[in-house]
Amino acid sequence: MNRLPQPFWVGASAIALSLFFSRISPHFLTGENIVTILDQSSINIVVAVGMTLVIASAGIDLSVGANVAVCGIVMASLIKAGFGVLPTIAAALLTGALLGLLNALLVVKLEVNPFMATLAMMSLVGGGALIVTQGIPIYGFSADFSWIGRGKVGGLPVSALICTAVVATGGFLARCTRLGIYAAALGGNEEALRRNGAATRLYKTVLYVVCGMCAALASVILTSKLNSAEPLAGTMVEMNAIATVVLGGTKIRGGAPRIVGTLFAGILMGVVKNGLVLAGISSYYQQFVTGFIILAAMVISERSKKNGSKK
Amino acid sequence: MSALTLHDPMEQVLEIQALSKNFGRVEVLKGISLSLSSGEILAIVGDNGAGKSTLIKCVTGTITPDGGIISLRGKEFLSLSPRKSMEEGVSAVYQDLALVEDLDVATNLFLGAEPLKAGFLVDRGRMHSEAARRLKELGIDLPSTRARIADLSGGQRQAVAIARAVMQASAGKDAGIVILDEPTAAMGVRESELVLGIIRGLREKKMAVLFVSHNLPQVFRIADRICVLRSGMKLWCGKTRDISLQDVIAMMSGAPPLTAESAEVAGDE
Repeated sequence: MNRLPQPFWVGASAIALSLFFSRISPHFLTGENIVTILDQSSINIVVAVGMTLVIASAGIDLSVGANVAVCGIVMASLIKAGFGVLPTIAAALLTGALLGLLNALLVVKLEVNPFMATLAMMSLVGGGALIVTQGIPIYGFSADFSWIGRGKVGGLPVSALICTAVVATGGFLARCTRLGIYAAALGGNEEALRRNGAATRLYKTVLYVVCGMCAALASVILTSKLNSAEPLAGTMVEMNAIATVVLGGTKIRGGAPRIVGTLFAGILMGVVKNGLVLAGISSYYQQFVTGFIILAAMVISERSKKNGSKK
Repeated sequence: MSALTLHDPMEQVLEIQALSKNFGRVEVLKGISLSLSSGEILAIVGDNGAGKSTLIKCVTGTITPDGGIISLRGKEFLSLSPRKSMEEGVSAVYQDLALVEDLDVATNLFLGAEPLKAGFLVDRGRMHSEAARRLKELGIDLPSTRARIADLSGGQRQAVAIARAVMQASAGKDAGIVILDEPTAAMGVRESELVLGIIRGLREKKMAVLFVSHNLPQVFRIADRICVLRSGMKLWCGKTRDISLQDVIAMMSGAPPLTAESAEVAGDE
């Protein structure tokens, strides 16, 4: 297990589980269902890519679910006010970026622990979404907007294409730019990075902003898919994203960001959820299995961290 | 007698004059003066609380002294920032090594100064080839520049940290100043030999090495000069051959030096 990277095992597990579910349900390995899995996994993976970079830097963002909800409400309000699709998406991205910036200010400037800072933001932003909407969903958008969540290009869902672009961008940032190296360095040894003259605060800020923008993009997919902006739309989004990141091989206490691992872990989680549905298993068990996956991912992450420090 | 005269024709790169530092009411450094030339290894020895770490942190800009002057190649500073110190060719390896375990050797060597292409893309190819070249120059043998720090031994990690310090100290300059804080602490014999070999190599490359150590036999093996500190004061500073191990121990522990007279004569500052 130590020889091969965790993303390999996660990818192999996704394939093995797919074969298992295909034995249970003949519909599982059909082209249509595979597309459905990709479509259903896209929101989680998009959020998880941003979360990967933040967790790599030894941070965390618990406010991504609330971010998803607020961005949805911002978009719904703008569409209802007659704005076009592109300005609406731009406004969502800006909102996500601002929420990321607020998180960064709390963490970097006020030096609040990232867990507590983003927990507070989760409550503040989520509460704000409920106050503004009075808990009532806003629904009924234009066909142009709904196409993002429901449309297809060349047989592939637009959501899956957006997800692919986000994964590619995340992988590029992690692999080819200082942002990726410094995310790992912030998580591995922030003091070392600071002593070597890097602008640690700036890079940390950018990481939270990127994470906020990923949540906004996930909100674009979710809101258009549901054709509705709901104040509780982001429930459990943060937990699923964190589980995906850790399962994908990025250590919860920081280290190298594993974007490919996050992609495979996102697909694995999608396979599990879809497979359980096709197997006719109750949704209560689905949550139980997700909890088990999170637990397993945490144990693996902790063990690998300990093995690393023993050397 | 000045250090410059003693070590002529080597260039004096560091001169500390009457450096003092207080933490509250505690005087940690009491008017310490010393000098260091290129191609020289100066060991700072002293018991815990002698002021060794505070002294090197003043030079690296991590601590601001309360009094005195630090001269780097003739440029005088009342205090330094870490960045300024680095710009003036000073680089330090602390005991924690400041390495990122999850990153590879080359990335650690260039941390904070990664070569870029097109203005924002990290040039990994250049980083690895340059890292391999630099390591070879320093005689450091590692499995690969792509090896993760977490997969290296203690000695190899120390070697990477020293190599980075050398790269930073010599960036744009002929000979930099490398400060090493307990470079062989908690290392086995073989690992220590690897590190000591690298330090000797720095002297041959005309680097100036200031190193702090508790391991006196090692100090006597590789240092050209020794400075003994106790309770923030410099008790003795001179050539290694002019003092015995027993005298150094006596000074460090507070007992009167066995050869105080010779120390008076040999002490160069």
